[in-house]
Amino acid sequence: MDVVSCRPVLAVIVVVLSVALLGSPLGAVAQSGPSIIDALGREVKVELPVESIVSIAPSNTEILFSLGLGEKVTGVTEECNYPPEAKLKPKVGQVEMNIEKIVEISPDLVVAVASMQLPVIETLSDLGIPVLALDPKSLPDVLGSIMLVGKVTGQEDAATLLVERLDNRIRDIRQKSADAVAKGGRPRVFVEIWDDPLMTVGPGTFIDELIRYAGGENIAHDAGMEWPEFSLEVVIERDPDVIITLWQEPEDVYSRPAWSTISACMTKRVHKIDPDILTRPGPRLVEGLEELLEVIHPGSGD
Amino acid sequence: MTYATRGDAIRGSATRRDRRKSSIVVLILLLFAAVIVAAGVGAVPVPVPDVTSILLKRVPVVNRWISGAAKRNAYETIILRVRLPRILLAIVVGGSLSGAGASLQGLFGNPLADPYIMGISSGAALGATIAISARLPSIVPGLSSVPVAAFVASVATMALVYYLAGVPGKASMDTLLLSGVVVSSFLWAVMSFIMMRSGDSLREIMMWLMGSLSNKGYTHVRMAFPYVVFGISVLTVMARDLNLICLGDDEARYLGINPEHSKMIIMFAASLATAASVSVGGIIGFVGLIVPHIMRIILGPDHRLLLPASVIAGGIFLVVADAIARTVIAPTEIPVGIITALVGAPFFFYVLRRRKVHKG
Repeated sequence: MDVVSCRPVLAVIVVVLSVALLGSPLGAVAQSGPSIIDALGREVKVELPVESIVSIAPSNTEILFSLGLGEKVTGVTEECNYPPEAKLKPKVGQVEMNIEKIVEISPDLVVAVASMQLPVIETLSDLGIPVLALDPKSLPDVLGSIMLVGKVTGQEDAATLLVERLDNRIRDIRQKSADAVAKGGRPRVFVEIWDDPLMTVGPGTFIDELIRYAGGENIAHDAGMEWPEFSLEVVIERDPDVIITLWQEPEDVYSRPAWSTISACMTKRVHKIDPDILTRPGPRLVEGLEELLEVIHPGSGD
Repeated sequence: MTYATRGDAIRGSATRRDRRKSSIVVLILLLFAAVIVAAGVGAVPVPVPDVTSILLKRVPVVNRWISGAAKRNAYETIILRVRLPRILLAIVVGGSLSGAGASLQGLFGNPLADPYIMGISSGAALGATIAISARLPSIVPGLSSVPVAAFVASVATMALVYYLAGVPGKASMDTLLLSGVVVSSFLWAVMSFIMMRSGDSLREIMMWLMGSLSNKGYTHVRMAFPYVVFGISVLTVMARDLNLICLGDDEARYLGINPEHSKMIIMFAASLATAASVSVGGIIGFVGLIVPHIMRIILGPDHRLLLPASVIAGGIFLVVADAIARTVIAPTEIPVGIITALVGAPFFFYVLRRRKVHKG
């Protein structure tokens, strides 16, 4: 009787053990990726090969696709519009991320932005989902982020190659802009983020850095804030040679009475540039840099 | 705080009339002083002689004695095309918000009433939010899409509030107020939803909501001016009716006015002036709440005096607040709504306490 009543219990134990034993050799096939330290100082380690990656920022999506990991991306945000294929991926949120959706996908890795998404990163980590937090603050940082993603996902070679190519392009632009500056000085640049209220970019932003790399001088470099509401008087006084808008058409700027005496308006040097390639800390920042060189020092890029 | 006394409403002694004249004259002089100071200060230091010569050059006859051009063309642009239109806009916006606030506080007999009580501002906010987050291109040369969208939406909101409150001309004050509150909450919710989904444009929307006269020109003044002048004129004409309404509906009726009818007119005029102001200046708080109170403390509750005084004082207050907003951390500007509350609240308490000490 005793033995008989024990049987179901035994059976359960046997099943559990065999599943565990069967499971472990399966796990042994996958190799553990390198352990790396992310932007938050956390140790991130992912089983390779990575089959499913969720990106919760447009810049991260661009990095993943540029490393050839597009097929592995199983979740993106509503804002992820580049490359076009990214728009076809399942959405996990817009500004706020939907934790349930991410858990349902249960990806091998989530790539997040450290400074903006701390609560989400904590929640996902508590749920046992590995999160890689990136936090590039400068163009060299972006190259570092690309390397980091490459290492964690086992795409180190692709990352090295991409970073090398981007680095060469950056060097090339900086060389050309340095030559142009040596010849003609640094044109003053004003970037109009929005017209009502008048907002621009200050120190600590990618645009500010890119303008410097492209051989220009951001007239709002002393604004003391990243996205300040800026004085129109000062724009007129500092008299930018070039104005870059993100949304307004150059014609709108030319039609503003108070702006008519500004050099950039008199010489028709107001240019509209796609904000995504100027503000997203991804590989396309280099495209932004190339466009900036072209508008700040026309012809020097040839 | 009393909104009217029988004596104020009906009689007006000779001394009162004198006081009325003199206080308006004092306020107008103060406004001129504020304009001159505000024209002289800014993120770019323009030397005083240049400011005066640039300004006097525009005055006919006097300009014969002004020699030469300003040192730099930029100074002229800054004074005439940046500062002056902005100062004018501050007068228009500050005056209309304060005038609308004074009337509505009297109308509702409620010290908390302000120009935004009818929900007009939520309409403007929604319009601006849509224009910014959708990055609508400008359709009028020299005028951003934001004020246009804000004005259209705020007038539409007015229409909606009146429509929901019932048959035009027959809606009661309470229904109208309730309709305004409900429409307002609804529109704020829609706006919050758009903001939540707007990602990068959130910064610009927030700045707009805090109220700002940044990057505004004569086009904006021309846009808001007709509605503000119409609204404030109607309110001024209705000041006597408003005094009677403050006595109570029955009393007002005995004295020969139709209170419901007058209330509707006052409400409509205040709403229109508010809609135009909010569209060009964003939701600048405190001007329409505090300035009328300060004027009421100083000058008493007679709307025939209180209303014009509030309009001028509101103009002065916003001109000064905007001068502070554009200079303290130049070249960066502070949304003027932050300054109006930061300066307005302590000043209000100062006036309130002084008044109490006086009385006690």
